[in-house]
This record gives sequence, C-alpha cells and structure tokens, in this order.
Amino acid sequence: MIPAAFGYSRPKTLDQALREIRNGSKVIAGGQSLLPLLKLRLAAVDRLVDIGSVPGLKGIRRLDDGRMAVGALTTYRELLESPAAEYGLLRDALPMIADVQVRNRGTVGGSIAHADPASDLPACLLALDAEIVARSPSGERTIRAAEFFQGAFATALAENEILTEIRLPGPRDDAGSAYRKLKQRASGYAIVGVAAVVVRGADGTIAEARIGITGVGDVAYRATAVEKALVGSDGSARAIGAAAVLATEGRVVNADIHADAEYRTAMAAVYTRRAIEGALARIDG
Amino acid sequence: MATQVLGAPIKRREDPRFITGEGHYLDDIKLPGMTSAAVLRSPYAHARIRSIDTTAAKAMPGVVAVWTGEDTKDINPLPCAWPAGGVDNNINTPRILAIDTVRWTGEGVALVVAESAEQARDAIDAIVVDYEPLPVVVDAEAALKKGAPQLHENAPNNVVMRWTVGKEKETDAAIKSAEVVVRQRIVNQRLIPNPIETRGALARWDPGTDEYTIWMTSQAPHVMRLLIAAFVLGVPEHKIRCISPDVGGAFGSKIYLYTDMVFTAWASKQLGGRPVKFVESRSENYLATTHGRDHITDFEIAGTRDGTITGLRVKTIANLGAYLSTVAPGIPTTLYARLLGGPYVTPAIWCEITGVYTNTGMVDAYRGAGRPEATYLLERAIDLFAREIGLDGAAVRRKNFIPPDQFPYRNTSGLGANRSGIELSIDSGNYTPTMDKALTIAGYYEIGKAKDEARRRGKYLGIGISSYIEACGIAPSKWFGLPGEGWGAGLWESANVRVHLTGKVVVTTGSQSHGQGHETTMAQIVAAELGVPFDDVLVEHSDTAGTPFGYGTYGSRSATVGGVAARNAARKIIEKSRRLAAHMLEASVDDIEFADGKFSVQGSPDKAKTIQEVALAASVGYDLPAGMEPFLDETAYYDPPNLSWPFGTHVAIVEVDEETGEVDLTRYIAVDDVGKKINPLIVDGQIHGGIVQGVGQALWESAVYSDDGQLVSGSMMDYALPRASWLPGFELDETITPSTDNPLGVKGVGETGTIASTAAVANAVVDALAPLGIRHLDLPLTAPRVWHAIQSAKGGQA
Repeated sequence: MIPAAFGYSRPKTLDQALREIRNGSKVIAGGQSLLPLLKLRLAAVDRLVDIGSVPGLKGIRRLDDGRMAVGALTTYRELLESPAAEYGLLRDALPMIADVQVRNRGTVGGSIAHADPASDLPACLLALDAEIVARSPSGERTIRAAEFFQGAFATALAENEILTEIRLPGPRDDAGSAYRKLKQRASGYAIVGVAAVVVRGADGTIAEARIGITGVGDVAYRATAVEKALVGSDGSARAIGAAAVLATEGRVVNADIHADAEYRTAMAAVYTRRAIEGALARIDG
Repeated sequence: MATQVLGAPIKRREDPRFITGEGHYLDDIKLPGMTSAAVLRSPYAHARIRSIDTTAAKAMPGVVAVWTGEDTKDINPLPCAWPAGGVDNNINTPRILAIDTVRWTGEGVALVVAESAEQARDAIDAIVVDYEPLPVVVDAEAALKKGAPQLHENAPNNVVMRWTVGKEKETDAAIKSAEVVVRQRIVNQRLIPNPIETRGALARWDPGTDEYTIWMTSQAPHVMRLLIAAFVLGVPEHKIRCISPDVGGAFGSKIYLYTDMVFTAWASKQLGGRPVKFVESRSENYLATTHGRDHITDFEIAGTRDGTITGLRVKTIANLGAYLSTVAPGIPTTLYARLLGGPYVTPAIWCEITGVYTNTGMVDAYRGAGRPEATYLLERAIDLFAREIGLDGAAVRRKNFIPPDQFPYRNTSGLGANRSGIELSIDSGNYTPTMDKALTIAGYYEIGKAKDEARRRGKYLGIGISSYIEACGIAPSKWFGLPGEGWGAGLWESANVRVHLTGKVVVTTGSQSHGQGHETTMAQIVAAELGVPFDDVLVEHSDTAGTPFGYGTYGSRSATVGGVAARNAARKIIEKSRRLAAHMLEASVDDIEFADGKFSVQGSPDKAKTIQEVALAASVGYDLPAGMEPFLDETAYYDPPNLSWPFGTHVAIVEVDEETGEVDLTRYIAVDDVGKKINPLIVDGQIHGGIVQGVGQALWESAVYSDDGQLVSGSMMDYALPRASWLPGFELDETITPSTDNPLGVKGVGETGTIASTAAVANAVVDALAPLGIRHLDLPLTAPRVWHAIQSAKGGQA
C-alpha cells in the first residue's frame, strides 16, 4: 500500500494554508479518509496541505447565543468527550464511527469535507440543522448543512476554501435526538444511518422534525417527506411508522454487494422509525 | 515433574515477543544492498497479451530491472504436488509471469526490481500492456457448460478431474428403496484466508558459493526447498536454504509454493547476488494468495421414517481457480469426499467430484480443508432429513452415530480405502456423551421457552447442532504417499533432541509454527520426557539449515506427528543416557530406573545421576562405555499408522431480527474431544480461533467475483472478517478419548472449531426461521439474505 509521490506542506497559519491550496492540492487533517485513498492509488494529489498545525481550528466552545462551535480539527473522540455529547444523536453516532484508532485521529471537519455518502456525521449535521463555516482568502461564510452536501464526495466548499468550524444549535428541553445505523459489516460504514431530531410541542404533538439519512444514496439528505408526515402528528407508533416508510421518497437508492436497493429501502424505513422512537424517548424519558 | 509439564496450561513463551512487537517477520528483515520487487498484475480475468512496453519503467528512478514472461520462460511452471483424483494430462500451474495469456485478475505480468519498495511500486504504473480481453467465466457450474470460455487447451470443458468414491450401486439402491429421500443444493462459498501478515519472500544468491537463501512466509520451508530445487529452478536441493521467520498466521494459505519464492531467488542471481524482497500488499493478498472452499453440491440423503440414514449421494463441483495450486486437487477429493461419512453409520455413500478451472484466483486448502465442507453438508443434510420426518435433530444424530463398540471403525462404503487397497479406520470415539454434554449446557430441550420469549421481542430464536469428526494429523505416508492419489511423498515428521554440556536442551523440529505455539508445546513434551525444567528446553524450527527434514505444519498434524517425533527422540536420549548412567553408577543397565530426570539403581535410590550429570559426562566424553559415541544427540522420524480423529458437538443459539434480517449469535457451546491435551490453554485458543473462522463463513464472509472476473470483495472494507465484539463468550467443555494410534494419545485441534462451527450456526439460523417454513438458506447468512427469505416466506404465507 504505497501512494504515488506527492508534495507536502504544513502551514502555520490559516492565511498561509489558504494561500497554498490550489488546483491539484488537497487539505489533509487527520488523514483517516484521504490517506487510504492515496495508498490504494484511488486518488492522487500534487500536494497535501496539512492544516494540523493551524491554530484556532481545534476545540469546542459555546457561543453567546447558546450555540456550540466545533473546530474543524476536533477529533471524533474529543467531540464525544466534550459538552457536545449532550446531543443524543452524537452520543449515539460517534462511538459507531470506525474504530478507536480512527476516532482518535479522524477529525470532524475532515469527515464533513470528505463527504463520504455513507459516513455518519453528515446525517447528524443535517438533522441538527448545523451550519458549516468556511474561510477563503476573501473572507468567511456560513453554509447550512442542507446546502453543504451536494453529492458523493462533493460539497459546497469552493476550491479556495477551508472548512474551519461547525456550529450546532443550542440545546433545548423540548427536543430529543437519536442516531441509528445499520452497519455494513466489513467497513462499518452505514448501509443506512438515520439521525433524527424531534421537538414536541406543548400540546404533545410533534412540532418540529428533522431527519438526516446517510448510506442510502449518493449523498446524505434530509428526508423531508418523513418530516412533513411527522409534524403535527401525535408521535404515536402508528404515526411514526406511517412517516418512516417515506424515508427514501424521491431518492435513488444504492445497490451494492452488501445490500440491494430493495433491502436498503426497507431498512431506511426501519431505521428511520427506530431513530424517531429513540429521539422521542429522550424527550419523554 | 513429568506429569506437571505435560498437560499444563502454560502460557505461550512466544507471546511476549509477539505482543510487544519484538517478533521478527519477513518484512522486518533488511539485508545490505537489498532491493524491492513489485509485480504488475493483470487487471483482466482473461486476456491475450498483445505487447508489453517496459521502456518507461526501466528509465524510472531507482529501477534496477524489469522482466516479463518472455524473460522468465525458461523457468519451469510451479508444480502441482498433489495431483489427486486422477488429474493427469491437464495439469496447469502458474508460471513466474504470464506468457501470452492471463487467466485471472491478479496474475503476474511483469516484475520490477528497484532500490526501494516505493520506486518499484511507481515503476509498475509505467509499464504499458496491450491486452486483448477474452470471454470470462467465474462460476464453476457455468464453466462446465457447452460454449463456456475455455481456459486451457489441455482441459476440455475446463475440467480438472472427475473423480468418484464410495459404492454407487448400493447408494442408488438405498435411495431408490428409501422411505424418505431429501434433496438439496447447497453452495459452500469461496473464502479468503486473511492472515494478518501478508505473504512474501526475500532471497539472496551467494555468488561465492552459488547458494540461495530464501526467507519466506511459509508453513513448510523444507517442502518449499524441495519443490523449488527439484521442480522449478533445477538447482540442487543442498544449494538452497529456506527459512520461515516468525509467520503471522496462515490458515493453510502459506502451505503452497508461490511465484515470489522463486522469482526473488532467480532475480537475486540475475542481479549478481543483490538480495530481492517481495512483500504482498493487503490488496495483493486478497487477489493472489489462495482462496478456500467454493463448492456447489447437490445431494440426496435417504433414510427410514424412524430416523435411520440409509444412503447419501453427493455431486460436488469444486472451483479450483485458473491454475492448480500446490495441493489443490487433494482437497475436494481425499480431504472432502472421503470424509462424507462423518460420525455416522451410513451404509451406502457415493460421491462424484468435478474439479473445474475458472477465471478466478486459485483455491487450495483453507483451515479444515475439505472437512468443513463435508461437515457443513452432512450436518445440513441431517437437519433437513430430521425435519422431513418430523424428528428432533439430536435424536437422529444419536440414532446414527457410530456406536462406541465399533471402533476402530471402517466406513462401510470404503471411503477410507485408497487405490492401493490400504484402508484407514477411525481410531476411537464415543460420540453420544459428547453431544449430550453440549445439549445439556445449551439447555437444548428447554429452548422452546426462550423461543417464545424472543418472539415477543420481534426476534426469531434458533438452536443449531453440529456433530463432527475430523481426520487430522495429516499422515500416514502409506496412505498419502501413493502417487496419483496421494501426493507422492511421505507425511512423517522429524525431531532432533540434543542435551548440551550444561544440561540445556535444544529441540529442532521439521514442523513449522505460524501461531500454533510449537515453542511451548514441543518444549512441554520434551521437558516431560527428560524430566528437565520447561525453561531449559529451547525449540528451534523453520530453517532448513538447522532442522531435520519435515513436511511442515498443516492439517492439525504438528502435535500428533511432529510431537511424537520429539517424544521419541527424547526417549532415545533416555535410552542412551541409561547406558551411560549404568556405567557411571557401576550398575547393570537393566537395573537402572529413570524417573523425574534421575537415573537410579533399582533398590538403591541414593545411587543416582541426574540427566544433567549424564549429559555432562556424555559431552566431556573422557569416560564412556566402550563403543559409545560422545554427546546426547538423537533424531527420530515418526510416521503414525493412521490419521487422528477428534470429534465433538457444537451448539449455536442465534436470534434473528425479524425486521432487518440481522443474525445475532447469542451463545456458542463447544464440547470437543481432542484426546489428551499437551497444553489446554493452547487447545482452548485453537478452538476459539477456529470457531470464529467458521462463524465468519456462516454469517459474514464471502469472496465475490463480478461476472467479468473482478474480485469485488477485495479488501477488508468489503470482505467482512469477524470482529470480537460480534461474538459471545464461547462456552467450552470436553470429553477425553485418547487416540489409540499415537503414544501421546493426542488428536489434532487446529481445525476442529472451523470444521464444526459453520454448520452449527447455519442450522441455528434455519431453525430460527423454521416457523416461517424456511428449510434452507445458502451462506453467508447476511442480513439482506435472511431478510429477503423472511419476506418471501411471509409473502408465501399471505
């Protein structure tokens, strides 16, 4: 497993990193996704820009408005051991990502920017309605998760942008969240992964619902049909079941040696139901 | 002393170095001036090579040499050492590099040697090959059909061999007249062995002596030397030294001769003696190291309504890949078809084997080798038969077990008889108590309650039994040595024991350890015999220069064959020492007793010499009995009269998620009878590992080729190796029926877990799904496969 030769730089500031990224280069952080691709020669780069030494991209802080900001270089493990674990779905999802070694090295920003269509965090960020912060030489912008993931390994990041931070909405007592995943046994990636955030109104009905689904198609997506069916319902088993079967509505469902499309479709419904049930249990419990 | 060491659960002395990263594996070896080799592999499963342009590669930085099939065509193809089943004029084996045609994805097309592994790898990409793709066939049954793509001119219809065993007429009659006949097609899917250390070789030709030293990840360095010398390079055997350093797992895949063992040696000579190293990448291991299993079988089992089995007819198509690996034809014949009797009295058995060439990687022995396939078939057949007649599977097994008073037992269909009329029998056994023990631990007869409880949770719970025998301790020569059916060479083992002046003992063995713990168990055997401390015994193996010839480690044979050789060599030491002790004690040899490391004169226990004192006298040598050679140094060769036949019953309990089809193995009970145990801790470890590999086949593992011959499951991202967290703690128990065919009373254990567990888990899943009317599912029982079965069963009911 030997990659083709490539250039390498390790800038000390974000501005320097931004100057060094260009056509043919690729930003690297924890290296848990990109390095295997390079070693298998499924990807090739002229130059790796290693942002591991760039200050200010690590760590988790609470913003004044209650939101939580997660630095792009935060590892999965750091995130799990941070106050972000108060989000039930992250508490569910993070331990299911790969193995201990990957969770110790792999970064949240790297995973998001890589945008593997079967990785877990995209579904979580969609359900949380997270914002992704990107910097370019001309400044900073925020991108909503729903606009960020555009296809398999394709995001809204421009060639000259570096992902710096992820912002999660502040916690609220009337919301519950959960992540449920059917693992592809060999890789541990999702055959289906469903993140659910549900808000129960004062009258007991479902006031808000956001469902993020990964592994099913070529990009993680919001299951808007499920959300619509759920909102306004009483959150009963029957209502959840009726909503969950809409999990793949309007989507092209993948088929591979691990799961045919029919199975994936059925599992999307099962896991959507299970995720919604899990989210509601966290409010009610 | 003796009783304490033998049979003690001593921790493996080799483990600290493995656990702390201080082992020495092939890739740890670095020699001065060493070069690295890389192989350009065919991206096509079947293609004509129109041209190869190596110009650009040769000009790459660090490139020392680039060779193609044209350059290596004077090197013989690798031999097929076990042309069992009547393979005759249609043997096709791999060449160092393909000439004109490639026949499987991954076949070597060009070889690059460079100053570094990185440079060699880069240069591979600069070689330009013009291929003309040819039609591809990957499925063995399809390969036999009219009009299928043909792989080899000398093998019409892609047939390697058609071979039969058993009693055809009797079996036909049994099936024709039977009260009940159950038919089923079952597929035993292809598996990839996946040792954690990949394979490779490092060779150095010495221009001063014209000798080759080849370090290799091999289970059988002596045999490799023999094959390379006699069949491939045509170099005298004594001019080659083969060394297996620490080897990180093999499961059979490192028994065979591979091209890299030859091309590194050949290349080193071409380069004037520069060492050449080749180590597979993980991807190459998936593609190019041998695979296992891959059978398609149609069988019929016949019997009476009250559960007596009367006949078994089996037709198996065995996919052997594009070429024959070293012992490939022996697996579906001798090690599979001849074992189809299992632990049962089946009056009439007939088996037809068709070996087939396809455009896939080579298939050869993989942990259990033929015996897991036979056990899986039989144990599925018993369950299907039991279900057909409405009897309990355990009851049917009990009714058909070979009775304990029938041992040694000869199979009535002559499965154990080879062409020369030599017939092997099962040495010893007592199958019912072992099964009953397993059933009791599992709570087999109370499982109904657990099934009801699981249903309330949306699960189907099932219990599965697998009763097995294994033919292991692969030997004796009189059976395996027969040319044409056996492999035309012996299967004895050897050991040398030397007691040095200081009383320290060095044991060298011709067997080879790649995880089995020989350094511990062989030392236990010899320490027990000689009555010396365990820590005083050093075991050396795996270097043809320092050890007596041996056939290597596979087929669970090192303890039963090699272990007895070590014991016998130690016994020879004792006999010589007894004569010397008599001389030292001025007593008659007949009056010398030996116990606990001490020679004493009968009736005068204070007149004694320890074996260390005797060793000192033998080594110093100034006062020896007339005619006695100095030093204690004895070699023994052991060829047992028979295989050894461990047996047992495994029980699996599973829960199937009705909604997702996911199978959860919740309990696993293994009661094995492996005879006497040299080290129970190592035995348990072997059983644990074996079970996991068999469970892997039942639930997760599968080598998948696309129709155009690409290995789709070619990485750990796509080939699901079992993880510890997916498995319950195993519940192990034992019965002990010593082997009567070797003086240690031991039977093999390295493969039993794998042989038993696949069927136990498969039977449990089918039992779980029985309420839905499902009677059989092929492996692996992945969630989608089980889910689809549940869906169609429910659809059928609706």
